[in-house]
Amino acid sequence: MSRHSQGNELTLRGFKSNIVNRRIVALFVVILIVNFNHNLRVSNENTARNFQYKSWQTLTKEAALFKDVKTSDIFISNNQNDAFETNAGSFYANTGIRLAYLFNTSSVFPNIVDCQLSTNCKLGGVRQKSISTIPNLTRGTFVPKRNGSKRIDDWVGINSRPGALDNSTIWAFDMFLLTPTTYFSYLAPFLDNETESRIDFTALRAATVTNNQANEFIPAIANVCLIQDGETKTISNFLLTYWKVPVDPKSPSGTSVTERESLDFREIQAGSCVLK
Amino acid sequence: MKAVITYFRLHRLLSAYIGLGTIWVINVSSIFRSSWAGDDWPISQTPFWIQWRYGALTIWNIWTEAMFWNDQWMKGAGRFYPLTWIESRFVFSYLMELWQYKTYQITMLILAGILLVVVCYLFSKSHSFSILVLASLSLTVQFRRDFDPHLAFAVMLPSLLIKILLAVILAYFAGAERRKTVGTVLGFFAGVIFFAAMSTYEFGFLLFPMLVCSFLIAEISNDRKLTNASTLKIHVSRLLSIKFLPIVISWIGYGLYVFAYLRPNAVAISGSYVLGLSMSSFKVFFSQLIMGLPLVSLRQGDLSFSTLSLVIGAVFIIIANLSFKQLFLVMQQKVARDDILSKEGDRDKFYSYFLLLFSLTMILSPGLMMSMQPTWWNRADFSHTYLGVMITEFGTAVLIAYLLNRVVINNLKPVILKRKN
Repeated sequence: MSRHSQGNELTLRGFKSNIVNRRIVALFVVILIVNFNHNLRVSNENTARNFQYKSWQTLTKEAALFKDVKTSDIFISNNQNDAFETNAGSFYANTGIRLAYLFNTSSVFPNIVDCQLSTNCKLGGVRQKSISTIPNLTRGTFVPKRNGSKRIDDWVGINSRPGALDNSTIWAFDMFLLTPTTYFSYLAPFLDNETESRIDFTALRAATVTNNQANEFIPAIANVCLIQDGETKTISNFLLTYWKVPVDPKSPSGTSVTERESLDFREIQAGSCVLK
Repeated sequence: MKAVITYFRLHRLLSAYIGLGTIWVINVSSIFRSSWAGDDWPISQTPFWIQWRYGALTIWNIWTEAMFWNDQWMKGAGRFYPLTWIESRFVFSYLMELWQYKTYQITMLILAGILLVVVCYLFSKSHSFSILVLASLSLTVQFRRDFDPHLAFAVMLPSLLIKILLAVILAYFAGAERRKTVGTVLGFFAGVIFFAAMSTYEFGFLLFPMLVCSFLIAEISNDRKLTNASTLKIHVSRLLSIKFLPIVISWIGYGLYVFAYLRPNAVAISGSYVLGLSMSSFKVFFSQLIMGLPLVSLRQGDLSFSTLSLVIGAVFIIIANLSFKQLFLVMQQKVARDDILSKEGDRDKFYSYFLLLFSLTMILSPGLMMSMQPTWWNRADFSHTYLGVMITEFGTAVLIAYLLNRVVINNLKPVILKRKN
């Protein structure tokens, strides 16, 4: 037997006879698998917002919901959150429409929680309040240096000039998960009124993004069931459905309700109606 | 014949490296399942804000925005970590798709692991030990449910570790280099990269002992006459060498800039960055010591396995068994050789001391930092930790590998002795 084969024979015998080392390997493998499973679970737990994120991308990249929105318009939204994708920057990158800003409602109406419809509290005009908030925006701010210092393209600066937003439309807008599988969004222009914040209800348009093959319900706004205004399959294989306010409005219980041309901003509450 | 034995040895080592490296890659790749997390959500929106506010996402705009925020934090909180601002802004501006960012995250973590293995090889000159470090990483790296440095926070921690480990490697070569000029140049680059590491996350400041260990291990490896502790003292005095000076300058320079200039002039230091000591500090410190131990972050429900976990688990069983079989064969041959030559000596002991010191620096420093932050006194415990835990995980992997190496070798010895008789 050669030295090499002697070595092989001995080492193999050594390995096979070494129970402790085999136990170490067994323990290693058990911990390894449990740890991998744990890591995979924690990774998966982190995906709770994936559908919301993808729906926002679908809504802003593929939907026709914003066809009437123009540059320097203003959005006011209850669920807007700068910490996530629901912001003016992402909206601009996806739609190409450079809003003056996508406000969270509380920025424009800091007292909205205490100002309830039931107490006859008036919110006041939305235009003046939102325009006066624009110069205070800090998002995306930085001080341009060197050749950038002379430039005048700070969007906030441009929109803060007197009269810059006179022709802008202010929209009530929102986007949120209505159910775990349905993302809901609406858009309605505010009426120009300096004493009240009312929206043009007849012009309200809505869209749902669902990861199911079919809608499970009809969305409702302010106790009025919306009617379907078209649907399409998206690149992400979601079902994108457009909705509008019907001429003969019905409540979720099926009864006819009075047709209304405008709504107080605070009345915009989403609900659902049963599919027929 | 010797060539044939060497060929088989290398072949086995390579198999073990590839096998356990594959396990490391698969383990880390579970990051692909995650979405943006923690601070990554708002940071990922930065390029869109820049576009919206200034019309275009140019390199200059990204740079200026990063510098603006760095400036705010320097003047406000007295913190200096500009590279994180720069890296995160550019990464999110050019890797906008989730899969692109996750690929970057995974690559950086894998790279940090590989560098740790390289460092451990340089220190120990033992492939077996390095392979065990690679294996241990897959046990100690655990994703966290609160502040997680693997899935979130703009790859700040892997980036810090990569720079620190690169600096450690350069410090090693500086120490090993007999020519003073070349050694000083290497020391200079080590100092620059170490400064970059501290400028990525100030935490790097506490990792200075890693560079000391690296330099001294290299110095010891230069001396073939090392026989006793008194010789070691001479080597420690070599930290005053010009080769190590750039690293010291980098460390002291950063410390002076942050602690003697920025912080005294900061206008709004948040409570999170105020340092202090109390009895709670000890509780926090000791709770964080064990956070790198395998399975320490396991919670209720984590033992329910998905199909994917079971399939990957089966793959792990096959790969791990084959890899360890090859590794143990090599180790057994080495034990036989060393046993015949009676090679164990003071040099190995010194290596062990420095290796342990290197590992303990990584294990202890995150807890030390947190124990001095009042904001953590009532929050950090055996279930709650912070970003530095990744450093603890890497340090624990070295420690576990060190212990495993000793245990396995001891288990192999009786077989060899039997052969000799």
